[in-house]
Amino acid sequence: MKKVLKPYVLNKKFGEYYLPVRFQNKLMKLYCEEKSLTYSLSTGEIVFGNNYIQLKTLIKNLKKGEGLLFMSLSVLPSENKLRSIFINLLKKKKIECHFVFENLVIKKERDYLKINQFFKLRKFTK
Amino acid sequence: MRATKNRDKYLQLEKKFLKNGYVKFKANKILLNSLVKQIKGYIVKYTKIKNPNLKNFHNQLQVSKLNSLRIKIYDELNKSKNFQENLHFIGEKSIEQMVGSEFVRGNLNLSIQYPGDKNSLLSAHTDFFSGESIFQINLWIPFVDVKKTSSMFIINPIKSIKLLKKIKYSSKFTMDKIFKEAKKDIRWIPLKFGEYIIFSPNCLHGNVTNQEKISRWSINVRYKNLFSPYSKIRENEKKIGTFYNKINPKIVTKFNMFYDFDELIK
Repeated sequence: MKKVLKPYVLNKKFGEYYLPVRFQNKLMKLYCEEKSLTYSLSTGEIVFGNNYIQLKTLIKNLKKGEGLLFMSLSVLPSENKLRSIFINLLKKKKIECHFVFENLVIKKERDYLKINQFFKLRKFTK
Repeated sequence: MRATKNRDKYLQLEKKFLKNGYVKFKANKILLNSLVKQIKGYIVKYTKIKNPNLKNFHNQLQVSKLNSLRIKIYDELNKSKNFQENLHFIGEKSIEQMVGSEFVRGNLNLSIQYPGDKNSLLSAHTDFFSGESIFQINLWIPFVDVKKTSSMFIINPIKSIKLLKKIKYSSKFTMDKIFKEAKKDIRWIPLKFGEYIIFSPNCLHGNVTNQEKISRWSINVRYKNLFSPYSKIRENEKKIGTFYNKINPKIVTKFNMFYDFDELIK
């Protein structure tokens, strides 16, 4: 059975990028088609506030065999403490995460390190 | 005398909208029937169904084929001048009362909800969750009688604000938990064929699985005044040309679109 990916999208800038949601959805759908994965309807984060409540809800409701799909690692919170909360939630549920721009798939526990490394490197090279 | 009567009517409308976040209107049935006729025409064009019955459409087409038909009809409706004009005439007066006569609008959205279908649900949300203007109104018009779960729900402005504050400031809750609490505040809007509503999408609204016996067909369209504020997020595309793509400028706006006086006052 094909893995189901649940896309998570932002209606505002993520890192240095901005892409209207309808195009994020198109790219994510294409990504799933190319990788023979099942695309599911996306969840958009709320533009006001910074608590990533939709992401939290999405992770909580993920069923076995479902993964998450992001446009970029930059979609995740840039603040270390907040990002760690989400990384721990993902680790705990062993959620497979796909990042389109970086062409990165996180499956195993040690892969999660790559997320923080990405943010550190971005900070050094700003 | 007539002016006073109109003023009273307007004030009543204002009072209802401020309290509930929505108001009901009656549609011109001739125009409404022409919209239904056109939709049925597209069903005939894209399926093998000869006599579409909107209410019982779940008995005419499998749910697995529904979304692709919906998208085809959606494309047709958004291309059809005739459909858009008829809808415009139905809602024109009420839209003008709400946002003024110089308005912009987004695409027409078509929603079809079969009884028991869990694929076309829209959980409670406000349209500014995604960066749409808070000065927007939505026109929602069903093509069948709707009640309870076959209709849409809304939460009044006061209760919506309480819940939205929780969403914005709480780090403990998930959306599910907040909406579980909100269940008691939900108000279903019953409408007969021939009625429509205009509501503020700032109020939490949405739908759940249709547990009634009929299929629900409805259209919703977003309107705002051309000159009321747009999304505060600079890069967000919920603006003219990319989101609000039909505009209805008045003479003086056209005049300034035509001549470059604005260049002189830079």
